[in-house]
Amino acid sequence: MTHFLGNMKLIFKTLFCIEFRNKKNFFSSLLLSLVILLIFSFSLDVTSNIDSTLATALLWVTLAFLGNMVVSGFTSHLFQNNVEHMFILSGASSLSLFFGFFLSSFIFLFGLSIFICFLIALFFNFSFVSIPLFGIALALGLLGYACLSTLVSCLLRFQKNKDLLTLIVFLPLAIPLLMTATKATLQIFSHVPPISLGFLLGFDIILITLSGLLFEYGLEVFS
Amino acid sequence: MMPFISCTALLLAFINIFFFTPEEISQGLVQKIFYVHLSCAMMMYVGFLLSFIFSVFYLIEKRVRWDGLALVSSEVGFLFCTLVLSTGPIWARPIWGTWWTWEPRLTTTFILWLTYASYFVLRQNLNLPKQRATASAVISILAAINIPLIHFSVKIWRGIHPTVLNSKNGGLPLSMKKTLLLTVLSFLIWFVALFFQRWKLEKSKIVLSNIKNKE
Repeated sequence: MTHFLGNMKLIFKTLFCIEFRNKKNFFSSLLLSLVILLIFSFSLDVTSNIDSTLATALLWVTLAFLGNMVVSGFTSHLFQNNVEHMFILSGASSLSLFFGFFLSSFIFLFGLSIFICFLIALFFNFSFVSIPLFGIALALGLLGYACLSTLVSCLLRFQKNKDLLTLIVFLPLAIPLLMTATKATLQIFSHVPPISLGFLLGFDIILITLSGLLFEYGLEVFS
Repeated sequence: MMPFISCTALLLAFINIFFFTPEEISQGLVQKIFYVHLSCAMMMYVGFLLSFIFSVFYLIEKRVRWDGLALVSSEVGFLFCTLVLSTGPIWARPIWGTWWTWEPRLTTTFILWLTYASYFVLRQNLNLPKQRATASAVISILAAINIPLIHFSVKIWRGIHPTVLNSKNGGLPLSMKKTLLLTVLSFLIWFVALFFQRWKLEKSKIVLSNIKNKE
């Protein structure tokens, strides 16, 4: 168990060290989130104040498109240099590799979503802070999203047209999760009992278990 | 022989639907599409479920046969999914007054269709057989998560899509139940016929690629 956690920590540290050095994902995701919000502002003709439905939509649509790009970039940090082989040769299990990847992606995505919330609050005058349950919905939604995205990114890591193919394969798989996350967020904002949170938790448990089991096969694809 | 049997079964089912089954009072003639719609939906579930099972077998045994069978069942399931999505709007237009509505069951079925469409795109893009088989098996298993979601989406999100079979006493009079059963049976025969015809083709492809590899 200690070995497992140690490996996870090491992968986590490696990913963040690489990211901290080159800051590629960090800057590109910040910029892209600004561009997406700008496109939304004129395509939906929104004024400075938006309601909870639009705020939820803005948040999850931005995350849906941005998140996968971020996770793909994150995983390619390791796969481009075959660092995963080093971990496996040093005795790390594929499960610890998966959890290392997945939790790093989740933390990065969570940070990014807070930044997007801040942007929405700034540009559209909508406060997310007043509703504490919202944080739970966001975390649960991103948990499933990060784990599914990690698996699909790993599956297609060396494919020629991987950026396009990852989106095509990943998004239809993630839509049910995103639908539930959006519904849960809306229920929280509308002060309705958030029953979708339970479904979201169920989704997360299924996705994490399944992705953990399948990650080994994902590594096999291009080994 | 199988194509002939399936054609006869389908013909008999359609004759029964149009000439021997009473019309539903409120919906009229258009309700008859229900028998086809529901049978297609059931075959869609069968196809995707088989794809899931064969994909699991592939990951365990790594035999090309399982990958071929997963592909065949996905293709047949996809065909029936397309039929569900096509017959639904024909029924919905006169009843709901619109071809399409973003109702939970319709949306989730559409997501399932998209998921399997992306599964085929993935297969097309991966050239090496082993890579293709493993990646497709993983995606097929992940896609199968959506199947129970679609089935229960009406209950979870309270849509307007009717739940005929789960309502009390089946929700159908006996004559309609018999027709439904016969239609489902004939569609099952059609499913089996399509499956085996496509599997024959896929098997030849596998044999051919084995010969090529030996050379």
